[in-house]
Amino acid sequence: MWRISLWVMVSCLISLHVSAQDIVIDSIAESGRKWWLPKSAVLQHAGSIGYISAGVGYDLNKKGKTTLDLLYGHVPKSKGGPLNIFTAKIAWRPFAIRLWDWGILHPLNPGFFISYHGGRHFDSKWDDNNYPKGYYWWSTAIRPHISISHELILIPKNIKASLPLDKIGLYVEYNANELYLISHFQNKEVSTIQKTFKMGFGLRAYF
Amino acid sequence: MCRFVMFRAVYFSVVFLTFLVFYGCGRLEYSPNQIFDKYSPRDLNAKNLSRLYELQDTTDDTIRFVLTGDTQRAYDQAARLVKVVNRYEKLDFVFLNGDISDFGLLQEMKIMAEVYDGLKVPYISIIGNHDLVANGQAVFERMFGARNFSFIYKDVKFVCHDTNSREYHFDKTAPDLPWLTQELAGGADIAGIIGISHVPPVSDDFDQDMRQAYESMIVDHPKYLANFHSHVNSHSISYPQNGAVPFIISNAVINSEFLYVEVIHDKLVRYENVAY
Repeated sequence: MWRISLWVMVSCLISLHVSAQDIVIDSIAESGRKWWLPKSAVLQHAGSIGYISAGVGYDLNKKGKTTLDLLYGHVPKSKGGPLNIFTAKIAWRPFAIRLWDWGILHPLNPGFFISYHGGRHFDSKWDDNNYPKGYYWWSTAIRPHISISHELILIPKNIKASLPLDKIGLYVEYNANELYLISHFQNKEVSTIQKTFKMGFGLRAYF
Repeated sequence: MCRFVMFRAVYFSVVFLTFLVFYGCGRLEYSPNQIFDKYSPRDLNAKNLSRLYELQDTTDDTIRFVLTGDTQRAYDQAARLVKVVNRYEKLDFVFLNGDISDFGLLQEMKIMAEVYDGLKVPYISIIGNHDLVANGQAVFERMFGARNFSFIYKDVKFVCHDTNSREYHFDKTAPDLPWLTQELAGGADIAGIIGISHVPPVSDDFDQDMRQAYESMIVDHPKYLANFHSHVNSHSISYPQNGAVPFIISNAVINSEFLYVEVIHDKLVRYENVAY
């Protein structure tokens, strides 16, 4: 199962890169950086992709306003697991509010991500030998989510010149997966936005 | 100057994060497939049963219960059902006969437990095929209890069991015939037996190789009063093997119907399909 999980992650990475390369290629030519070197590192708590998840971020445009993150998350047994989750996440930062010389606030950042649960209880497709066609219609392993986040970026160098990092982002993200959304729209009375959108928060170090 | 900027930056970050974290603390989710969270209830069947015995009216022989099934993602219909069932003045308990969830997710079972918690009487939950999807089995077992269990109320034994054969790839573990044999044996103090399970034997999701043995066990039992099922989303009654034991299937909560049943000692006095 682990091998399959890795393969999915790698193919996800490759396919996303094929589509992303056109955009990224200009900035690589200018900066001379290797395209596969990440532009940021991410550490996240909760947010439906692990108790703790960690990964790398790539810029999909020159200004780095659109990012692609690849993360691995884990839920330990003591927190309702064990679960191993791989995530590919794209987020846009359409608005930026400059906070004096030490920070930037990205107040509303829409995004989209796909999570993949590894392990024997989760499958990307149903066993045809066991289930008639269309018996269940959703995948237990692959979950698409929509998200919205707020990010506060600190510029350590402007605070103190000797600090090493370019930027540090603190973010809070709300997400809903497709199954929660379907249930939400079908149940106007019982289902609330609070029950549908789940929270996570994290830290992003920009290189 | 430097110190002031640093102070302001740290101050802003702390305010930013504390505000948002406080605001959304109950919404933290590690995965839709997590087995439990900080707020999810535990052992609801055991808790409801002990409440049932506490509330028991020892002067009344009649057992009155409502059988509901297939709530799946119909939270609103389930909420309406609770209101309707709460109007019954003399009711002992309610069965939630499987497919509590649609996708086998913690969130769904939590919501349904919250809705059924609005019932005035205790409710007993049985596992359905949708509850066995993904991590569903572990979620169900922690939140509600065992897949196969029985209890005696007044002088009737209720045998709740897992008949979701397809979810076990027809490996002959569901229904668990050795367990059922044991449950149906003996019990001189019992006047009658009622079986409750999600998938009826007429369904292809029930292991057809086990059907004959399963039905015989029930039909040939002298104290068996009735077998109740859900799953097929329509109400029906049949008498397998031309026996005397009715196999009654309830409609789904999605379709806004349930069964009302009355039992006295060794007799199924009344059953009614209620649309609401």
